[in-house]
Amino acid sequence: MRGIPKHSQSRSESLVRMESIVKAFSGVRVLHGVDFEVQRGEIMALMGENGAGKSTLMKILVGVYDDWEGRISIDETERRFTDTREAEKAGIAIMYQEINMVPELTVAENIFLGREPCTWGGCVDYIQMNRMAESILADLHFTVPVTTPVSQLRVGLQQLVEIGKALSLNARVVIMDEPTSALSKREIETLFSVIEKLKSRNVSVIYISHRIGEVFRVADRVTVLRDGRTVDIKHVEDLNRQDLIGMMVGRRFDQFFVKEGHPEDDVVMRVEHLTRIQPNRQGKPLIEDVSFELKRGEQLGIAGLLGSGRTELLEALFGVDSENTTGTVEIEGKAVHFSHPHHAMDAGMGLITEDRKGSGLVLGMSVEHNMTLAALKAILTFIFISRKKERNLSKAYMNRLSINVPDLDNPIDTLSGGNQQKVLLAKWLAIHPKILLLDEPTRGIDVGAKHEIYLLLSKLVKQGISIVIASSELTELLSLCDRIMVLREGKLSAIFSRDEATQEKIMEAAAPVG
Amino acid sequence: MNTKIFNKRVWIIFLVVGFVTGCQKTTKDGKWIIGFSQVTVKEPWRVVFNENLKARADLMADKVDLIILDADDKTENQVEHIRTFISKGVDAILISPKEASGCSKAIQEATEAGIPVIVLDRNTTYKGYAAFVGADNKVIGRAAGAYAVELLGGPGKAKGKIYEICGSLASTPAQERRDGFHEIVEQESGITILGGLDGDWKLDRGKTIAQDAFQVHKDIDIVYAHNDPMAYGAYQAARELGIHEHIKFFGIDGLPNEGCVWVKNGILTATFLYPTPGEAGLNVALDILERRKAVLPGETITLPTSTITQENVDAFLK
Amino acid sequence: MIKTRMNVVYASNIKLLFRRLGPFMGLIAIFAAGVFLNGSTFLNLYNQLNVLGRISIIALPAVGMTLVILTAGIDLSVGSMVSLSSVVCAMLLMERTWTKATSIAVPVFVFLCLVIAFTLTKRFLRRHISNSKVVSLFSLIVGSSIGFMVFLLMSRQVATGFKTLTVLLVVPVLGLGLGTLTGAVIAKGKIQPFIVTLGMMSGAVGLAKFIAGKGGQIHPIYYQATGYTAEGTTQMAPQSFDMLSGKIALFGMDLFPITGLFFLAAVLIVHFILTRLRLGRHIYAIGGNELTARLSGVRVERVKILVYGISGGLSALAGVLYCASYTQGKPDAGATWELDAIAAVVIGGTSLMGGRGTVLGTMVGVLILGYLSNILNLQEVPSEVQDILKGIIIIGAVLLQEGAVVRWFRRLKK
Repeated sequence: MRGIPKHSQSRSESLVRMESIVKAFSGVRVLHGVDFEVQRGEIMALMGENGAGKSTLMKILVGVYDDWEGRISIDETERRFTDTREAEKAGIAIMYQEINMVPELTVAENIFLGREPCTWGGCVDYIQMNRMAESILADLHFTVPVTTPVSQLRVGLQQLVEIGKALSLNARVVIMDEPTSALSKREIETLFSVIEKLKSRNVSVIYISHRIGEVFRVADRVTVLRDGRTVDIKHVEDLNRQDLIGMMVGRRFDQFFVKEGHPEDDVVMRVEHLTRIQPNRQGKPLIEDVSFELKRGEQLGIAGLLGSGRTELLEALFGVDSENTTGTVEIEGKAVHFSHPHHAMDAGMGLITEDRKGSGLVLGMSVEHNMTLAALKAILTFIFISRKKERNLSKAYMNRLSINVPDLDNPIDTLSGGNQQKVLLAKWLAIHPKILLLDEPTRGIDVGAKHEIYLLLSKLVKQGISIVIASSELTELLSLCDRIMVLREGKLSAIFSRDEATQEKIMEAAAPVG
Repeated sequence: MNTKIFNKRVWIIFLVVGFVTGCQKTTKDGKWIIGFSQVTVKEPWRVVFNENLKARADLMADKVDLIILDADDKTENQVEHIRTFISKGVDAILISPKEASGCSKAIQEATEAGIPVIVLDRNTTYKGYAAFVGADNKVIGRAAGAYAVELLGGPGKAKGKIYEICGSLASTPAQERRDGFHEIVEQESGITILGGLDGDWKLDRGKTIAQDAFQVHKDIDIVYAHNDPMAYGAYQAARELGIHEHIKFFGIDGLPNEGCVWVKNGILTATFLYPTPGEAGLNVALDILERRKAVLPGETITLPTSTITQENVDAFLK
Repeated sequence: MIKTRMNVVYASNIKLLFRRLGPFMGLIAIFAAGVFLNGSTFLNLYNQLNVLGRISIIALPAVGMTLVILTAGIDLSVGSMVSLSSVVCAMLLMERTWTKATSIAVPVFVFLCLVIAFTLTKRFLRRHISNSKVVSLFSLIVGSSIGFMVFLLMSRQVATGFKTLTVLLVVPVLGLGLGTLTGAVIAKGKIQPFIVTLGMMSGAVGLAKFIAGKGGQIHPIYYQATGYTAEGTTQMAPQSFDMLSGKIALFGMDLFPITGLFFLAAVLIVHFILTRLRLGRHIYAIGGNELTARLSGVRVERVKILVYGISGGLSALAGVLYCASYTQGKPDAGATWELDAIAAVVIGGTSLMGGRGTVLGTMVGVLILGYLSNILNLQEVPSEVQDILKGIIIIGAVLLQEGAVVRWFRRLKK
């Protein structure tokens, strides 16, 4: 269903042009020379897997980062924004996935935050402000009084307020990051008609989304990024769904890592009807009715887009947030109920979280103390911690995992990402787990360290340890896993065996319908 | 590490030099060194107390070196003062303590170290000190009680309501002024004593207590406050409510620039002289030091008091 | 690059230097200042023992505060706990009937004995008997009987006045109980420690005034010994209680204050916990990153409750020592002590963000503050000025430790 008429004239002058953008974080490159361009009054979709570089690219455009290479031109004039305010003045506005407003202030106050119209005396001119807000929002079919606090509005309406704010700033291009993820069907329609209105006013929209169906409805052209590079820029009418998916994942899959070992027959964990609702009891459940089995010595992958519930699933298995989790979990045939992570640890489970600095390590502590934190029971003499046993344990794992540290008492934040991840691995291996849960285990790590970790994981499964890996790197999952389950919006969408899995199939199962 | 400036030899020389120069001789030129710990100077009576004491010490500057320390109304500071005095090896200690029990151990320490301690104005639980100098607050209380009875109709026929505002009930003067007063007044069946709250000797507290009291009790005849500032505070409260003409105010202290002035101006009906014990205490100390007097532990020296009213106030207004 | 590298390395070395050794260097500096300014008056044994004896009392809440701050919490109620326990202690020693003090102290102690007996019996029996209902019932019986016996023992002491050792046991347990309550509200209720301990601070003082009676009167301690009698009182506190304010003497010389023994013991025990027990590691982990700690299997709630309990217990013990040293219990005994405790912890190098610091540092911090006030007293500096200097030292210590001074120097160089 094609909803929005496409403009037939092509203009040679772009509104926004980004050329050969290169960006690195701590020496690791995430954008390798990306080209991107938007015309006036055009709706450009920006697509790609997680980690392809979409948000980074947009943040550069909006002025969040200032250390990048390449060229940005607005109206064919080269610009380099040093902060977001400059970008705002140039007419670039962004609507983040998380609503960026002050909940207790009213609609009008949020729109004019920081630039409230004042009376001669210096007080805020509320009458003027409300009137101005009303006129801006009138075009957007916004009927709620502008004196309503934003917290009382539904997400859909909050987004309209954000768009209103962008318009009041005379934005010429509005970036929308996953705008429909929290909207109802009717609100999506309203959003589309608003986008149409923007287009008629010659305001461009950069539309970032995973929802292929929406892209086909709304966008004029689509730019696909993959692994920090521009794959292609095409008119939407020239593509179909398969093409798009192929563009997003279609890399040559050189299996540079050869997997050894395969799973045994007995089931080490069985999960049935696992459901985890949101803490505030509102909205969709984080994971819904997920059931699967894990065999001994198996490497099970979990694929899915951002927000599909991978992390939430691993957390639920580990006993985090048990008040909001229902379903049955059996370990080696016995039903278990973990209400706290240490129950899970006693049963032989370990979890390496996604955010190693935020929830995996204690940054102020030394390397050694981080390594032994979960396994303190193992280094005791009576009830005292034995320095000798601790040193032996950490030295042993240092060698085993080839971690390069001059001094074990150095604070952990002096280590590289790869070494930190190895320390985390050592930490959880020290409890001799039966089941290891890994969330994005190789994020932000150089290729060499990645390879080492893959080897380690292989060794572990050969010893009979079962591993569950959640990852957004499809190649990683395809190299390592015996089976790959795909989550889509909290539900189990598909399970592929090693032989039948391909990047396209996984992406297809992961992408939301419609 | 080249950032450290720790050259050991320099430090040792530094310490030795410091030690030598820092040593303080305590008996300077044969004068008696006397240390005095005053509980606070937030009360006018104590300001005069210090002034009188200092004046007397200045008169004897050839043989007395007086150190006055202010404890900022904290018992721990007074204990530290005493210990400081002991450290410095003073010859005698004068102290006006905040509470009856807080300084006891320190006073015991000083006494056992051979330093005579003279306690002024408020008594302590430890009675082994060299001497206690103060007016007999019970006598003052009784005098106030007697005068109150007289004003209300005379013994046996007195009728009326008296509202009492106490000083800090942790200190002996307040307890004794209350007890003495009650002793006399409770013999009269026609008089009711109300109140008894702790005003901590401060004017603002007296005013606050009186404000609340006047809301509850509408027909008070006399306000009996344990010191002049509190009485004055009560007067101010009454003034704001317009009822000050109907109430008589009693205070205690009788300072020439304060309580007496208020009596003269008709604000206070009567005040009772509470002489500052500083000069007398200093004399006792010197008597002991110059061996004119044997130390009888726990000896009490009582200072006289007077009833000051409109009739005789001029004599006290020097 | 190399230059900046060296600057970075240089700076972080200095920062580490200040943080680890800084407090110690500060102590040496202040000690030297004392010698320089006051000579033998400062250095002599009497003065040193006096300072040690005095700071040992405030040191106990400071040690407890170290544990709390290490978990990234704060305990504003320590001062009030000292006040409350000084009142309870004085009344337990002096009164000869059931008072409000005994009504609160005895039940808490009996309850604790009951709980301990119950838990120990349960643990012991569970290994031998499988039926959990029987185990629970039996443990309950054992616990209750022990609790009852303790109650009888206590009641006897109510009538005769408490003995010194009993007071040393019962009052800290009261503090432990209240501290545990605070910790439970913080951990389970998930409320900020600042607010909860602020409430406890106010509540404890109010309770102290209520128990003391007459709006908060002082309860003096009297002894049989020379000089300590009041007219009409026949009730005395046991002479052994007076020992707590005294010193250990050998060959006629005073050697070490008894309160100092408590200080030393507290420091050693807590140091041991922090360095050699799992609990210590857990405390550092919670302060460093609570989420990581929880996900690493640390029972965060239990540790927090324990830590606030210890803080309460140590503060109550300080209240008992206060009572002995000043022969009185009063509801404002420990007023503003929480600020001194926090100051000592901060000067000693512990970060208020949690996860970093040692109790030895706190010990140094307590000594620094103690010597500072001692030197100023000997110099007869008025107390307002002392407070200002104390504030300057606290801010200076934190600035040095957080590297702000170093950063400022670097900017000057540019």
